[in-house]
Amino acid sequence: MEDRAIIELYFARSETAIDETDRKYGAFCRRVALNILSLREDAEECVNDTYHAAWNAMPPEHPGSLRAFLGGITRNLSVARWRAAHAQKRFGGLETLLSELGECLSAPDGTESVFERRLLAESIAAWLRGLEPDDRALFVRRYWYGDAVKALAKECGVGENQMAQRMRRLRAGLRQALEEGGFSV
Amino acid sequence: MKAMDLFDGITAIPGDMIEEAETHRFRKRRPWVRYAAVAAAFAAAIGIGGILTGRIQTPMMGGKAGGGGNGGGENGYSYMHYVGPVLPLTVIGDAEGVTAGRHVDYDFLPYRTRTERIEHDGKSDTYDAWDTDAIVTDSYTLVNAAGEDKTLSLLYPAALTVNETVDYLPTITVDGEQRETTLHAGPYSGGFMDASGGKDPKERVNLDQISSWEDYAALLADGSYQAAAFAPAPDLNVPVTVYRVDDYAVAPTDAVNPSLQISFRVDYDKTIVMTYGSNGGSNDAENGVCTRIVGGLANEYRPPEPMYVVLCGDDIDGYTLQGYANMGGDAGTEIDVTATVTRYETTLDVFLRQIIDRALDERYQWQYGADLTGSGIPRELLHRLAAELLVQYGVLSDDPHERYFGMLEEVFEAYIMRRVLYLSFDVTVPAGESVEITATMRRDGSMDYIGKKKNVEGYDLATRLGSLLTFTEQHASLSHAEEIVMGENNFGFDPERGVTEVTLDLAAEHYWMQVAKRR
Repeated sequence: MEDRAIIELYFARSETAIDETDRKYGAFCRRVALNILSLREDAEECVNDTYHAAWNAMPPEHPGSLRAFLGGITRNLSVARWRAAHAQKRFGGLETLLSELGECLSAPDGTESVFERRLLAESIAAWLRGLEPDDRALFVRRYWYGDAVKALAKECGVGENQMAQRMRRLRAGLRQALEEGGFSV
Repeated sequence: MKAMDLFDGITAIPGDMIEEAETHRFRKRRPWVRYAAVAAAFAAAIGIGGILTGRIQTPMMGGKAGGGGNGGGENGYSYMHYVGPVLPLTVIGDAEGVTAGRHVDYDFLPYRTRTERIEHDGKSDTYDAWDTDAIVTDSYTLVNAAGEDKTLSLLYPAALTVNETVDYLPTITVDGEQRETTLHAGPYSGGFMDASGGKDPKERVNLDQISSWEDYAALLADGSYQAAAFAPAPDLNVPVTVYRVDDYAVAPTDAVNPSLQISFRVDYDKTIVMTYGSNGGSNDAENGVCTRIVGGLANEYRPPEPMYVVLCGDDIDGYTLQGYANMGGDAGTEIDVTATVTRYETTLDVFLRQIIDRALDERYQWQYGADLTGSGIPRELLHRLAAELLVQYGVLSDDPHERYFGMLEEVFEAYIMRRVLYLSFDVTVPAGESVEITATMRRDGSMDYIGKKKNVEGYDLATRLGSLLTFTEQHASLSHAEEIVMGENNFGFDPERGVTEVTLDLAAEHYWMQVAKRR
């Protein structure tokens, strides 16, 4: 079903909206959650929570990209759940992603303000737009979707080490872009 | 900023990027070698030949020091000038039932100060000299526990440039007897970068030579690099039309650097223009005009070589010769220069072999500093590497790099590109017995040109990288350790405390050490 039709189901308050969402984006949401949480049960709960949040958000929200909208909710819910698990020393996939992203930072202290976060997101987006399509997709697949380096390496037809090296270069590029953008990384 | 801030920032990227990433089809990595359809590559290159616009000039050296490097290295094994690890022996095909023990010795005798004599102005003088090379003896005991003899096709890899083979190519012995080997070369192991140190990933005007252990680990991890060393050579057996310009005659002039320019109309969509012996020129794709210029026509000490214009594709209708007072070729600087132009037809393969052979025999050592005529590197391999450069990166590539303009002198760069060379040889290990194989080589130290490691030499080795042998044990040792001061290392060497022999952990992929000459 077209995204537009699914969103219309939400606006019509038809519970079929959830079924259609699950049919089209269930696997995608599970993948995003699982890449952050590692535990299948936790991921499944997050996906259910995503549908619930989507039901509450639409209307009034009318997302331009249903995939990005659902994925964003799943990501945020998964991170919240990861934080809770982290407090209980149950580490998940996000640990690895944060560790890699931490390489972009030399002084990992001080949390950015809301305004700075918005600027940060815009700076990251601007940097991504300047990349070759392959590199942009790779970065997003790794750090937004949380896809494994091994899976990306296979998809690109290169070795895992080579992909890890490419990711390292991308992170270095992001760090440089953020520094040039005035962020204290 | 915290990593989670970054994570949140990434969460908020626009939806179109998320959509794009999901549906994006990645370009599969270009195979290292794809020469079978070289004619097709030619057609593609002809199609985009027009991008070569503007006056030709030598690419600017810039960016990272020393032709690459990674900024001086923040650990024990990354350097501005990184020579690469000592790599382990490997096998092609079946080695079932055969196990290997390995011992690597680093002998620092070359660090010992010696007295050398120099003669100048009729006087004799002496000076202290030493080398920062280690003599590496990489020994293997292959044990055949099977009930039948095993003949193994072995490969000994060495990370080198072709020019370095003159001093650093390993020699192989089997049970103490020197063994003839066949040399194979993997593709260029590095990449390209812009002139300003990596700010523009699309610009490829400088070499970005392989510069870290991680690069080698990635290069050799899946076996495709090694396989490429055995792929068919490019087939350059395509017809070309050659215009040879020589017998220059300059009318009496005060010009310091008289030159001769040949210009002609050409359809860049149908013809690839290559030259040899020219010093510059221009490709005006928009107007279909090509110029090539040769200078130094009054140089008594080094008379100019003939200039060749090599056309792959359609021939030209005619040409114009014009002399100039300098290399600028500007209006108002015209002078009288004559030359003989000879047109002939041949193949690119024949032409390339001729210029390579002549250069190697006559001026390569003078120009590039290495005598490849006495290095034992087969000419066929040298021809092959030159052809690979042309087809993979040069004007015959389907993705020509801006570094290359079609001046065929460019092919000699293939000999300074870092790559892995493979020495192949067969060995039979009798049933229930063992064979001793030793690779002996001088190994230059990796180094930084500036910074805190300026006076430090780095040596490293890979335990298993790229090897299909089953190792049971590996050891390493130091000889003449009194000549050096051992710095940081992960071998566990501590010569001051008498630890000069260590057992290596096979689970560890990489060992490295920093040493300095003992003063």
